[in-house]
Amino acid sequence: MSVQTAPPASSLETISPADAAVHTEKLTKVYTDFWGRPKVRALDDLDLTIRRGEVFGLLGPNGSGKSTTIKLLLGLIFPTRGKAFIMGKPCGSPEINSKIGFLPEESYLYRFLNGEETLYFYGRLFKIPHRDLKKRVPLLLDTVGLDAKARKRKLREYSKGMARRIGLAQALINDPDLILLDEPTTGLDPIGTREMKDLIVSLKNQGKTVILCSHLLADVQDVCDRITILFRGRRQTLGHVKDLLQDQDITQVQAKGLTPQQIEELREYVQRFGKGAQITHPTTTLEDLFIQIVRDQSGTGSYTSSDT
Amino acid sequence: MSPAMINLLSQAEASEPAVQYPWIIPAAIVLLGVFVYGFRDVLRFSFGRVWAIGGVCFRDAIRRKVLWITPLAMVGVVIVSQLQKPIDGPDAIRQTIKFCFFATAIVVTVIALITAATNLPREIENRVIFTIVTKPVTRLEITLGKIIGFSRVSAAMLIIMGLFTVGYLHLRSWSWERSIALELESPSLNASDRGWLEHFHEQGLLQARTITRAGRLMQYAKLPEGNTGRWMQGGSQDSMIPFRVEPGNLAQAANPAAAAGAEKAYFIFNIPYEALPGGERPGDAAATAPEVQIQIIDSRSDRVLVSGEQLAMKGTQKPDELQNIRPASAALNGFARIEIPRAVGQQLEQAGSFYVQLMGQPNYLYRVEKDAVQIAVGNLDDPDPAKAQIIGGVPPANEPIIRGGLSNTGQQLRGPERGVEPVAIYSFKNTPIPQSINGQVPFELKIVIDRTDDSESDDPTLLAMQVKDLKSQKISPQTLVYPENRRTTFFSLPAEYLQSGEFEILVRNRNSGQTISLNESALLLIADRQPFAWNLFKGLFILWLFSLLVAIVAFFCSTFLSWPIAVVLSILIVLGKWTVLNLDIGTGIGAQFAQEYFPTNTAAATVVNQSVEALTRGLTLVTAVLPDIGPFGVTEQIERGGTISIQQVREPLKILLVFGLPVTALAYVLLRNKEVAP
Ligand SMILES: Nc1ncnc2c1ncn2[C@@H]1O[C@H](COP(=O)(O)OP(=O)(O)O)[C@@H](O)[C@H]1O
Ligand SMILES: [Mg+2]
Repeated sequence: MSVQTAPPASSLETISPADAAVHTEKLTKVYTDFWGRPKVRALDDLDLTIRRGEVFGLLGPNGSGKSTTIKLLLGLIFPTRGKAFIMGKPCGSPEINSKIGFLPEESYLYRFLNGEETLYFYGRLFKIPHRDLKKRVPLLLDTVGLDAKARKRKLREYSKGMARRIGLAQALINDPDLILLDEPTTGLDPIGTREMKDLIVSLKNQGKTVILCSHLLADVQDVCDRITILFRGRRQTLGHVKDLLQDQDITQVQAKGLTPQQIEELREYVQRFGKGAQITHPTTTLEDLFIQIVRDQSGTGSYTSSDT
Repeated sequence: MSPAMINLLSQAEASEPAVQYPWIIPAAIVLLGVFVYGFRDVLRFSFGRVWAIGGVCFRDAIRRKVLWITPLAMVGVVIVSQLQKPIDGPDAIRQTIKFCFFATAIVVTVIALITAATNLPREIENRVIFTIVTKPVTRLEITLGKIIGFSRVSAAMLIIMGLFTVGYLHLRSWSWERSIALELESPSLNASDRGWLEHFHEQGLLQARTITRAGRLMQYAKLPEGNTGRWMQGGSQDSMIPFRVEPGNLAQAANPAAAAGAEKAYFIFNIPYEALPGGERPGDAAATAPEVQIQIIDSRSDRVLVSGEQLAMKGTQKPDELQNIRPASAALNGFARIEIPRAVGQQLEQAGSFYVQLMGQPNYLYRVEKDAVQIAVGNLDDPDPAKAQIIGGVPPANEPIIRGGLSNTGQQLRGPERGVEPVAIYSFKNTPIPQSINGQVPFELKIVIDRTDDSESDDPTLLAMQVKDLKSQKISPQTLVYPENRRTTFFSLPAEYLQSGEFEILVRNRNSGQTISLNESALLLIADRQPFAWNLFKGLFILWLFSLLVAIVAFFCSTFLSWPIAVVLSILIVLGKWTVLNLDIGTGIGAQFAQEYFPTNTAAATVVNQSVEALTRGLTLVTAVLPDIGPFGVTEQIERGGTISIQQVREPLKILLVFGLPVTALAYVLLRNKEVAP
């Protein structure tokens, strides 16, 4: 079985960086220690173009550079090399930030404010008039599913899931065009996860661009139009989810209650027939693809997988 | 030399120079940092966002219970002030003010330091900054917002502490005022106590008055007439004549090759004298005059630069004549001369400015006029005084200073003895005179009374005060004052003699056998009174400015350092200049050092001198850029009940502008280039 990188989507190369929601060129980040000596190459020559209006998945195992990419895009850290543009403008500027919503990996908010105060505070940073905030804040809190009681409680009393929800609400306070979600479903219960996915879809339907960072493959598979898989700071693959998962030359045989001997016979049998034994073309799961990439790259097989 | 003397000398010298702040460099930093480098951020500036960030910063501090330190401080103040042992009501109030103010200053400064130094590192550490920086907020707004937040924390604490101070002080003064009222009813009260208590009964214990100090304090054996007739009493008074010389002034020192007998530098002493009745030593003829001892004192370090013996050693005349100059008798009005040896000349040129100190013999009065000591260059052997050439640049720069004997607390003023009644003169120049009450202007006096003599008199000390109007030369009638030892005494003098603003207050001790000590600030003119609370408010406002300075420095340090190191560096920056100024490190310290430790080894002395000089130069350079926190210190003034002038509020404000603004700009530039991820 081989993993094929998706054929370069022709439309991608034709859109100009100015039209793209996000565009990076050879974006590289090397973390240095106190003395400026390189420590970790967290991101290596990342080229990425994300169209407006799509839900884009940034996938990769822990420590693969997803959060680093997001931080670079937001200007929280500065690239060692390369450039990044958002809506055609160099990222990190306040003008760009006013069109962005960001949900950090964990909800880092002022723990001594309550849910409502938090949203008012962030609203004021956007200079949203108080009158508008009065309407928008309760609406947002409804959207993310924080009830009237939770709104009046201090953030330090929030559960992880509630913190996630208020974090999402503050990311949406300015009705952003581009939303960056770093591991949005961690800490959420299955219903919360479901709601989050629905929300992402509805954001997409509103014409917004969403960048979704995750190592939870199921999330990504369900909602993303396109994904890229990062591993050790490098881009491994990029393409439409459907293209990436459609595996043309794999045949799957499903049976129940076979003895090992029968399996062996079956294998011999199939080998004798070669191709054409099956007509269907089942899709792999994203998990398979993911593991395959990781295994190919690391060459160690430390990420074990079930046989297919 | 006693500290009192150092104080005296430096006061005589310094004429309150107007502090000039180098504003160009700070202005350039602000301009380049904020308006050039941060031009786009300035365009986007929104005070609404700054205020929002400041508000959250403030709430953060409140949430962290910093205000809880104020009740702690209050309890501390109450405990300490209950444990104090005041001598009287005013003293109790003074001490309480000190405790309150001290506690407030410590609490506010420490909290400002810690909050400001930890805020940014903490927000980066717990990543709250992520959600701030990714909003359309500029780092300029973050910098200013934080500083506003810190200043709000300080303001809140100051309001709480200020209210407590006012309340607590009123409580204390109320109980003391009640006991004063009771004391006043007692019939056995003596005169000085009564006057004193009545003053506080009328004015209350919580006072704020503007005081004016005399420009100069001198003491003479008799009241001078105009500009002449300054008499010094040997034994109990001395005289200092200030000089300023430049390299090359003492020609002989600059030209060692000069042939013997040629031009030399020398002192000319012209000191007429007078024996006190019965004071002539037995067998003393008019020809042998009473000696005057001389010493040369460095006016910068107040150390003895050249002793009398040193002058004598290199001399050509008999040592005793050199060491102890015998002035000609008053009648003869002659001269005494003394050569300045080459080595001494060099030392004097190095020092630049110095005093010649004259000390006489008891039982004699000496007249010390402007020409009492001069430096001349010429032929020392030529007896004709007219040929003595007073060299340019060296005549006495100031008038001779005549002082009473020095004690720890000031100059000693004796009572009348053998026809001599010494007079201390406080000179006031350009003094604004307050509205007089019943034709009188209030003064206050605080002296130390020495009854060390086996004084038969248990009489209360009595001082006679007079005003001399320098415009009309009229002298007021005497006002008698019973002062108390180490306690402020209040009296008033007729306004008509003070009107011109140029006047002298003449103080005489009326008790023979008693000595009092007074210094420059012993006698003060009360120019204005203000409500105590208003004065306290001004003091707290200055404290607020100080906390702001501390917060700015601490925030600046926290933009590139971890918080514990930022705290330490902030303390160094804020206290650095003050410490160096208090250590009194300046040029000349190297020479002193070398002289002290290597008096004989010249090579080593030179090396030590130069390296110490280089070190102090480096230190001076560093301290030059640090803020001067001196003007922020107003505790003592409030404690003494002195009003804080607008000028005194302006000085700290200027320091804050000149130092705080550029540091804020630098903090902004650093923050803009900082990766705000942990
Ligand atoms: N501040 C930092 N200093 C040094 N190394 C870092 C820092 N932040 C992240 N890294 C390293 O960079 C790599 C990528 O991290 P990150 O982008 O957070 O991964 P993830 O894909 O899990 O979000 C990791 O190896 C991580 O250890
Ligand atoms: Mg991550």
